[in-house]
Amino acid sequence: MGELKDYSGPIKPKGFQWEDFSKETLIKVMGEYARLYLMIDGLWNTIVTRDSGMEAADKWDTEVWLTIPRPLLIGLKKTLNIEGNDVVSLLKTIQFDPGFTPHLFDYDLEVKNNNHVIMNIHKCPSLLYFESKAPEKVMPICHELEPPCFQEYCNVYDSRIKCTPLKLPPRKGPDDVPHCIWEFKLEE
Amino acid sequence: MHLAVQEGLEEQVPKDLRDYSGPFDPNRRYPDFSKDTLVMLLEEYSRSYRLLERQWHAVLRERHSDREAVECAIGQWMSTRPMVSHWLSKALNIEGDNVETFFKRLQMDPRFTPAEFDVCWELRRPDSGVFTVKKCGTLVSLEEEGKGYELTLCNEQELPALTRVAQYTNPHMKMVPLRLPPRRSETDIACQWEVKLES
Repeated sequence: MGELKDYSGPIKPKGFQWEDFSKETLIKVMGEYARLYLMIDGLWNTIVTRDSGMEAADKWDTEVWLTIPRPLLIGLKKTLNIEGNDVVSLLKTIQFDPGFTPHLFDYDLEVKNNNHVIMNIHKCPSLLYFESKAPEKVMPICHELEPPCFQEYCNVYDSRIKCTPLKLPPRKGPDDVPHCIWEFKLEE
Repeated sequence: MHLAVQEGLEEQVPKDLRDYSGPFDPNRRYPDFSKDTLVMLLEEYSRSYRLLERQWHAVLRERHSDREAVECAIGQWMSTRPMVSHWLSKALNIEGDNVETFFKRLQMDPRFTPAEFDVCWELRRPDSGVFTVKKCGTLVSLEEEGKGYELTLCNEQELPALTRVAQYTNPHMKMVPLRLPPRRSETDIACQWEVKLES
């Protein structure tokens, strides 16, 4: 059986494995998994908002996300054999975080030195969604959830690495880019 | 993706990298890696997806109750599962409205990946089949927790959730649980389901 470009053909009931697919197809699936990863969080938040109110939902969403970085980054470090505890090592794992893939985000990284990096996020799909459908979510998510969660990412590597938001929404208008800017810096 | 701005670093030539132990490259992307590495990364992504779901469950069980956590989970599943099927079907060109199509969609579901689950797929006819989950990490974790939450989750959440997924493929598709927890022993299967199209 050659490498599958998709799964339009018959089912493989026995011995199904990811290796059956081509590299390009695997990358496509990863992009969809990343999309779904962000989507399910949004849906959990929506359901809990309906049942318990927005304040509780956003507070618990933050609690959930604060538990994610450690197992996520440790798993990615192991899978990709990323060593080191400096800022660029942290950014190496963030580059492959399912919550931050190039399928959905557009960002660049300014590396000042191995312990000082600026991340400019030019397109954030979550922000675009909130601005369009749920503008009341911009402040809780961008100002209350993201900063402590990014800091928790840093803590997994070295708690001396500080993540500082240099620019956050709300935006002045649709042409206001980058959407947000984050500084990662090791403070001795 | 924007090109990164980096002083003094030459652009890396993408190869079939086995890992990312080498220098940081601000333009490092998925195609730079070997297929084996991408497979491992894909498993990590599905593990992260399940982790996120599990953590929401955990927070809701702590803040509310097991009952309310399951009800929220069912509500969330009813919205999520059709989207999962939709986006993956679009990416993988999976079309059709029979049981075979449904099985293919489940095989690709991030909650149901080969590394974490051991599933036996038995397609009897295009409109009828049985799948047996021989190994389920979530079930084992909940059994080890010892609070019996797996009985609530498996017996109350899974049927409406899987039915919703099945009916995305065909509104006449019916899920019948043949075996559900509690298991008879550690070596027993996790669960077994019959899927059929009713005319």
